Amino acid sequence: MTLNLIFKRMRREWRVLSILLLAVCLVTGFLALGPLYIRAVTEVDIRSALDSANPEELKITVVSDVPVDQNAENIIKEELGPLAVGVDRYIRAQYTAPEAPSGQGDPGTPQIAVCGFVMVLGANPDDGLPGANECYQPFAFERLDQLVNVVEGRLPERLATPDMVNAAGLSEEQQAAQQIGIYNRGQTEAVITPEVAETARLELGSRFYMGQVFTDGTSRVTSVVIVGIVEPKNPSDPIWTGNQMFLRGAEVEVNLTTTRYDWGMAFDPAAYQDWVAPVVPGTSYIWRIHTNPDVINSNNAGEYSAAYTSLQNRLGTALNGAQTFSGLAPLISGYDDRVKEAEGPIVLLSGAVLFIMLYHLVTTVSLILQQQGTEWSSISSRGGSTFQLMKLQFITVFLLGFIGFVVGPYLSRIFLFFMERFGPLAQALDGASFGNLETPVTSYLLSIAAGAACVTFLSLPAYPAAKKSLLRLKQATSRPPTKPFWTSFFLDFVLIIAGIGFVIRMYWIADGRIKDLYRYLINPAKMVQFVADHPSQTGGLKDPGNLLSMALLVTGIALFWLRIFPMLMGFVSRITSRRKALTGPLAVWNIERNPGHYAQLILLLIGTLALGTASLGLTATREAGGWRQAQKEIGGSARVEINPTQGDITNVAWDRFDGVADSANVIRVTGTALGRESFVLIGVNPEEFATAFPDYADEVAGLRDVPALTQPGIVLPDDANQLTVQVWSQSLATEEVPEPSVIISVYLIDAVGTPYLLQLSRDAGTNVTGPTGETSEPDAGPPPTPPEQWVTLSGYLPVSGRLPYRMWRIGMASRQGNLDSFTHKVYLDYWQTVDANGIATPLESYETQPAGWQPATFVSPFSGTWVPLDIAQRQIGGAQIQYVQNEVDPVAQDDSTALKIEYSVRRVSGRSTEPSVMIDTLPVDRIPAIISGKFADVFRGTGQGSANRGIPPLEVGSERDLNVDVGPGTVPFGFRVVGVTNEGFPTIDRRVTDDGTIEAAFIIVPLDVTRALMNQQTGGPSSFFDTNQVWLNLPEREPTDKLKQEIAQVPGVTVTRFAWDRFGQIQREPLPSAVAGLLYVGFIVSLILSLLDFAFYIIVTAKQRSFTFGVLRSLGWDTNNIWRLLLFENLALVVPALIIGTLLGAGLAYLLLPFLILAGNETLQFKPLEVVLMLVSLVGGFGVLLTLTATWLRSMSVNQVLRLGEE
Amino acid sequence: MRPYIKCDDLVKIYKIADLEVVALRGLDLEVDKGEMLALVGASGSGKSTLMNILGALDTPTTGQVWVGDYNLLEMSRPQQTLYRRTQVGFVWQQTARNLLPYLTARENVELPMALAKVGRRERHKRAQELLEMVGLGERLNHRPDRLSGGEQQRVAIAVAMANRPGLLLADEPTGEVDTEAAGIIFNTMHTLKDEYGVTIIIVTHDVSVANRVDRVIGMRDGRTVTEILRRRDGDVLVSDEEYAILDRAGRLQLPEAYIETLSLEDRVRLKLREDHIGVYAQHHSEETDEEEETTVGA
Repeated sequence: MTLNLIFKRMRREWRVLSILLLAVCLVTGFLALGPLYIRAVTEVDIRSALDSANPEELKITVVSDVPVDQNAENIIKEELGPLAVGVDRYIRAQYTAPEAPSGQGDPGTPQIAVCGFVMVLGANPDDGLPGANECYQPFAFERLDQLVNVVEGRLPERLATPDMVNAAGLSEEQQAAQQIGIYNRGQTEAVITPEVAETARLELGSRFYMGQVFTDGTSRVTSVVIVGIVEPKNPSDPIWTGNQMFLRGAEVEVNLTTTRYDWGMAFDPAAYQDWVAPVVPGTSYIWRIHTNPDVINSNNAGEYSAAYTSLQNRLGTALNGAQTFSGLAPLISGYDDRVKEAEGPIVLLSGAVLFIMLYHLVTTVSLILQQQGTEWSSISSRGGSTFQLMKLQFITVFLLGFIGFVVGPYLSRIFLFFMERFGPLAQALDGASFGNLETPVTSYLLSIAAGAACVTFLSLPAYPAAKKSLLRLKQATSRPPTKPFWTSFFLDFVLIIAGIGFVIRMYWIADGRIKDLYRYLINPAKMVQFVADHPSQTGGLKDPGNLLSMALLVTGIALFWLRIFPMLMGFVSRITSRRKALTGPLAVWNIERNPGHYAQLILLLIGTLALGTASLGLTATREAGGWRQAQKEIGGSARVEINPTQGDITNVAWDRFDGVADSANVIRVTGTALGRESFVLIGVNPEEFATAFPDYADEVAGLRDVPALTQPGIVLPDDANQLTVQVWSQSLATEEVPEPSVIISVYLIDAVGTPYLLQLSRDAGTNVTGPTGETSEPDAGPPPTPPEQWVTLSGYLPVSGRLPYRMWRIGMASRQGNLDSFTHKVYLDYWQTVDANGIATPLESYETQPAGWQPATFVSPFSGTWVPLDIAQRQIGGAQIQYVQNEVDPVAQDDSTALKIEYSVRRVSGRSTEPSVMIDTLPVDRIPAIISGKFADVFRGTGQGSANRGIPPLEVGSERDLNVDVGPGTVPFGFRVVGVTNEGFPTIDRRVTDDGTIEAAFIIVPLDVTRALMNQQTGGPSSFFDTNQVWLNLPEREPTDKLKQEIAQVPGVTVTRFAWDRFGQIQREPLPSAVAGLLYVGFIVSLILSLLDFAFYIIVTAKQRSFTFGVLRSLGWDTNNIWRLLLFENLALVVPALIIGTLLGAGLAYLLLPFLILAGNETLQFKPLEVVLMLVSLVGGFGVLLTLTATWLRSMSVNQVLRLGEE
Repeated sequence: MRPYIKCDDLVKIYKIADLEVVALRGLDLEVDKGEMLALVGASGSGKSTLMNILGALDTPTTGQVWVGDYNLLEMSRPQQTLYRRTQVGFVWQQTARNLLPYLTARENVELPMALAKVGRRERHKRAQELLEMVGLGERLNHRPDRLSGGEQQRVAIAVAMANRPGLLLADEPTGEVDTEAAGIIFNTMHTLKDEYGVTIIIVTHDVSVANRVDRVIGMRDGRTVTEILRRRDGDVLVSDEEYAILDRAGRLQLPEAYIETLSLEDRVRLKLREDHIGVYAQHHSEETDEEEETTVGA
């Protein structure tokens, strides 16, 4: 066989071969896309991580105790290469301020710093060095002139050391200027900042010593002279981070009563080495290496990560244990592994899709070979062997395959370009580009593999064609085709059964029980969860058998279709043959006559549609699931974290912020109970939460019927700053004992339940405010209260609490001389507050009987019903109240009513009791709570571990009391279980490990009561619990810049996390995104191949069909009949494909779903419009081809057509 | 001496779906080396099947068939390919089957030689020689679309002769050309027969072609039924006689015309006479026979 023949053939068939070449290139490009796509997605993720990182985090810091030498520099260059683009070098003396003693026998921690003293002007140093009275942190910056501006004086210089005495050639003046030889004063020069100068009272020329004086009288000190006052050019320059001692110094607490001002100064680096290094306790040589993150990409991220580790090790060795650290390392580590992990399954999936494409090619090339049948017959009749004919085909397609292999990687880049704009990730990329990515070697290898597969699959049809070429000579081709070889040993059934076997294996392994298999099949979300939670187990995420199940099933179903299609058409033919019309039966007869090819066309359409449907389904599911997952991790569309002590967000109208539809306040606290078991406590307002996040409404439904917390006491106006009451005190004076001094303790709570104590007395200036736990006994010996008359007691309200305050209890803290016990009677009237302008607001004047006032039984305002009464209760007993009229003189005209309190003061446990009256206060019932399965398990009993054995987990209706350590203190926490959930909750950490899912135990409770409970026990003016997270619902998902600005202006906001950012990350997870992306590209390529295949079919059969149509027209058919015939035929082709393909695709997506671990446990979703668009695009493509064919056939006259047929 | 082609009781049965079609029913045929004969017969008489078998495109169901030293019944597929490549040449009625449209006349002729791995120089030489012999020495580099139908068929003959086969099978070679071209084609084949001693079998309906060969075998229902033998002295026809074929089993097919004339049907009576065998219709009486005998005898 000569190459000449082959090339001439190719030249003659250039149109056909061009189309075939296009098909081959599409296939090689597709297979090469997988690794490129994974890297591209990873690349975007890396870029996103690097671009959003704080530039300072990306620097690499080397801290060494010895100077960084040339060798170390070489190591840095070798390891980091182009990543390192600059360095800030500076030297810093070791400095640790002393830790002040706690005052309870703790001596504190000694400092590690160089100390000394400022020389007093006129003092003679030769008289000996006085004891050090201040300490310093010396610095030396390499580029000091670029970092600071000189305010006064000049920058420091390196002066000669005593051993540098070579004065040769220098004049006396020069020697004096350089302090050489006899002019050497042993000094080194330094600069300080204005703030240091002012605080330490230094000026130009100030001198000080630093170093150590030993007991034997010797010393190791250096003398420093201030030669300049400098200020930083850019105070926010990151180099000052960690070096604030130079800029500002620090006030150091030496002991309980003494503080000291320590400060820093900067030297010339060489001078530091000469003079300072020998006298300080230690020196750190610091390199801040600037990095160029642009050089990092998905291909070299792993290499740079390894280089960083190597750098750490080598510098550690070369520089005697030098430390190297950077925020860059965690950003770039792990990408290599993620790429590798994703690559295997993706290549497998691409391979599966590749089979569909190769089948397209086989069908297409079979058509071409059918067209070339005459030529092959001719060669065959001249003695061309089957091998020679196959060789002819092989060499032809080898050239195509070779070109395809070369073009494939480049074409894959075009696919990628397409994906950036139109693929399922276009939205997630949010305008980001895949960039100028280097094509990975794997892509080239896969392109070669695809090229080889194309050559093989394009050559294989040559064998039957060569065999058939002889049949053609024998005029036997019109005989019915024999059954395909695989039908004889039921390959289709074998594959389907094997596929089902693998599916069952995957699902069954989930729990190992048949009943669970059914449960998983009908509830794929559980299966998804299982597969995701057990990545390394058989049947888990990384099990390739799961993908194999799909490949086997799909292939088996395809073959089964080929088996049944002829029967199906035969059946349809029998039905249609009874009709009188000719078009329908003739169309079916045409298909029935050549069922194999029609079946293949339909099968390919089915495959194409399956890919498309699966791609659309997975993309839609991923989008919905990814967003759900992102929301679940973040907590709503955005989570604003707040430090409640730094700002009050009560009045922030979150839903007026840009793009915010709803918001929910959340308290999130980590607590421990039973010694060490930790859990997360989530406090929400159920109604508010359910309204803002309807998706989670069910998960807090159990809390929604719970009545709101009844707040105790009387609300004080927000503008009140003083509380007053009129008191009429019974006279008890005797000769030995003075009149009682009436003091009323008013117990307040603020808006978040933090308790405050306010003591009302006649002298408002002496009142004591503060949290209950922090008050001391009232001043001894308050003046007696004038008896038998109305006097005003008053006190100032605390200023640090959250408004409004509520007055819930008043305690009679009266004294009578030195008596430990006495009984007394007072009348109270006219409770009122006074604002800063002196305007009074009445609170209670007892015009009617005050129903809510009663003798106190609770020490705390939110006493839990589960907390037993204890000794503290006895401190508040002993008061009787009565609503009276006209018992005493009216406090004002027409006011004869008052509250009479008769009380007895005693001493209990060494303290005077405080008979109290409480106002509108009720105990709190056990808090309704929804708990996680883990919580139910951990806190099933009151013991730990094995102590709980045999005790069933908590369930709905269970009640439990725990003393929960919430950090600042312990809260007695009684709860009643109203729900148990195993579905997790937003922001609750779930970690997937090889051993399974580790989920934090959590409990969801109403916010207000929980906050009050915690604050009554642990709250204080500067530390209390309140909403520390606000979850926002952004319908548009993406936060606007305006929203970010608005949030930034809210006081107390520490950080804001957006689900949109996380959503982008999820969408860019290599494996799931590549699965959806490749299916999408696979669909597009397959659609193109389908159209090419169909076009070939039209071309090949055109002559035969045109002759047939010519005959039909000569018998009286018109062109409309022919058009209808073609339409019927193609309806038979497309309709089953549309139905079966879509269903099969949905099934494929259903089976693939478990691999999309981050799909947020979503069940399969479709966007109907997208599916319809896909079907329309396919039908449209076919319609265009069909119309072109029909138009061409119509344009021919009968004569022309018949002659054409004869040829 | 064994004839070049010897077919002995050839039977070929095709199976189409569940239906068996008997294409050849115990055909016997002997052809000598260098002979040129024509096969004629109605459609479905088995001509093409016989051609396919002789060309090793098909194998008989039973019987024996030898072409030269090749027992076509016992050949493996590679042997069949080799046989087609070296021992037999085909000329088909449709020119599209004979020639590859994208090759020149010379390249078409060289193709079978290339398949047989003949050296390039030898291919060139032989192709030129053959094309000159068929009268197309001036049109070596013309592609088929620039040749007339007759010229294409002559190129096809050159192609068929490329590997010097011993047997040339031509299926209606003049079917698509005019009379003049047909004459040229026939003369070309004659020349080749004389030059190379090739045995030529022509399947034809063309009476003029049948008249140009010395042996014409008529086929019907899968058997050879008649044979016309002509003797010539130079270009002058000396004798032209048609014979019925008596096969090895003694079977004889009567010409249709005889049967119709004598209204023979179902059964006939045979009478052995002194120098011939009489065939009589069933209704023919004994007396008539006697009379005829007398007449004959007289």
